[in-house]
Amino acid sequence: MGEIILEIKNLRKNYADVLALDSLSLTVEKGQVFGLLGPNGSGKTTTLAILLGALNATSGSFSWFGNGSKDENRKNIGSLLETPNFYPYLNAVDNLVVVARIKGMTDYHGRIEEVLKRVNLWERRTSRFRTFSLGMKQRLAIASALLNNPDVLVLDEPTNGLDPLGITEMRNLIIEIAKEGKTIIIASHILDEIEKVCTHVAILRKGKLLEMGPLNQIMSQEQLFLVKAGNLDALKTMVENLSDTHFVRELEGELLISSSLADAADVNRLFAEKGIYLSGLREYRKNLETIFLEIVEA
Amino acid sequence: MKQLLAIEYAKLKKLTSIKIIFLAYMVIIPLWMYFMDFFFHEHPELKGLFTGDDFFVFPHIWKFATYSASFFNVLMGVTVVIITCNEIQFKTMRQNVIDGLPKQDVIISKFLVILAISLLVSFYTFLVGFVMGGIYSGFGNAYNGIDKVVLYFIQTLGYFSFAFLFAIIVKKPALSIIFFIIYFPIETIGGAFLPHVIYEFFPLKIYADLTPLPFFEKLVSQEETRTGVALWSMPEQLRLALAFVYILFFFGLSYFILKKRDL
Repeated sequence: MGEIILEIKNLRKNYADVLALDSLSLTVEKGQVFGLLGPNGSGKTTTLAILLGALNATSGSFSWFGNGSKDENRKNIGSLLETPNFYPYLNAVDNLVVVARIKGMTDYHGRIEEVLKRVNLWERRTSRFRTFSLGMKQRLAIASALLNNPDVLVLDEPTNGLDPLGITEMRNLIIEIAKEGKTIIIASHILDEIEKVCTHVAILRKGKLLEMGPLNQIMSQEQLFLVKAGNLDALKTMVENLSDTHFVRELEGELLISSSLADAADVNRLFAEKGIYLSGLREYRKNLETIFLEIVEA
Repeated sequence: MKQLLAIEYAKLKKLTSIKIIFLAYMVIIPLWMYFMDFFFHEHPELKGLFTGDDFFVFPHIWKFATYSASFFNVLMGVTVVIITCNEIQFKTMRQNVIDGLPKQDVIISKFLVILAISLLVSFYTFLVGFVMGGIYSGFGNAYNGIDKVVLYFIQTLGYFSFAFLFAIIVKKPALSIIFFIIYFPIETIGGAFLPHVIYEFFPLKIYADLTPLPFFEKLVSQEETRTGVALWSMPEQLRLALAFVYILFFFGLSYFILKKRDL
């Protein structure tokens, strides 16, 4: 087991009469790219806001770097939480100077240049923040998160407001930073994003933790197949009646089914023995989206 | 401490609205002094109440300058509200905390800003008094009565701290400014219905009495002779002590509120 970066124990948060977070416990180790998944309102941002000192937890505790919930811990965490928050009347450089000062950096001008170049904002460094587009604001927030080269990055919906090129750049940036051995915690509802970068995931719904583990372990559950037959309705009825197969959903004239049988040949034999000959059968590579829907809708 | 000042300086150095307000403050104070002088010249019967002497002469200039300047404290109080509410509206206060600034440092750094503004306006008022007094009466007696400037400094610190508390509680700039301004008449009207001794302990009354009307003492003694009843007035030391207690209370309460609040 690696060095523990973050440990959360029974974290709860009530807003008036709404339970936003219900006894969340999890651990993040050094070097992990940890994805926090869940539909809107599942408690992802609430969790991160508590971890970053912006919200007070109703009960429970968390500890960064084995050092409790001290304010100074956050100086070693780069974060992007919801909207980018900067002084609209200051330009990009001046805004980063404020952050650098808070982080306790002394010689920061070189570093500001470095991070602004990394997110392609160097040309706009003297423009006021209020003149920035949403994508530029988001990129300035990333620059700010990277500013003092922290050991941990916390990113909440990091591709929000970015165009397709920006999304690809962001993904590559995250992979690059992860390679440097940094720990990254990402909250997102865009599963494609998580699947491409994360090593570990936790799935939340209505403030409860549903599933947690290494990505490959979560991904290797039941095998999925796409099947097709002359009489699709009869096939569907049979899938639902058999104990070895489950109907997932219909996909353009084919049925997506899950099965405890790992081999396509076994599935083929199973239907043949029951009197239905498949006109199409192929393995369906499971992606995080299907797993997520299974878990959340279960 | 130095670091917190550096943070606040980085935030404020390019905020044009404060510069404009401060410039307006700088222009209006000498103008207002000349206007008041003109007003009392038009009404010589009022001027007789004062000391019979010229306003612009040491040591009277100190009382006069600080009293005149105190009319415009509300202007700088508005600046404090703007600075504080900006941080809440832009969510930069939240971001500062997320970036690692402890909530108590959020409060301390704003205290430092308020301290700096108080020092600045007090120094400016000193300068106006010093120059005008020098022009009208020479500098021989310049430092006689200069303690009025120190009292003025404490007064501004009190008003601005109070404005800060309003901004923290109300969060919205326009509403905070309105509440801050209407608190003045509310306290005065409330005071009129309360026994005089209790009213003397109200925060704004305490701060206002640090720089009283230049002929205030004369008015009081006239009133006392007329009615034959001695009016209770708070000892200066107690007033000073309470002035500091209120400042501490305003910042303490702000910290308590911020600590409990979800940003």
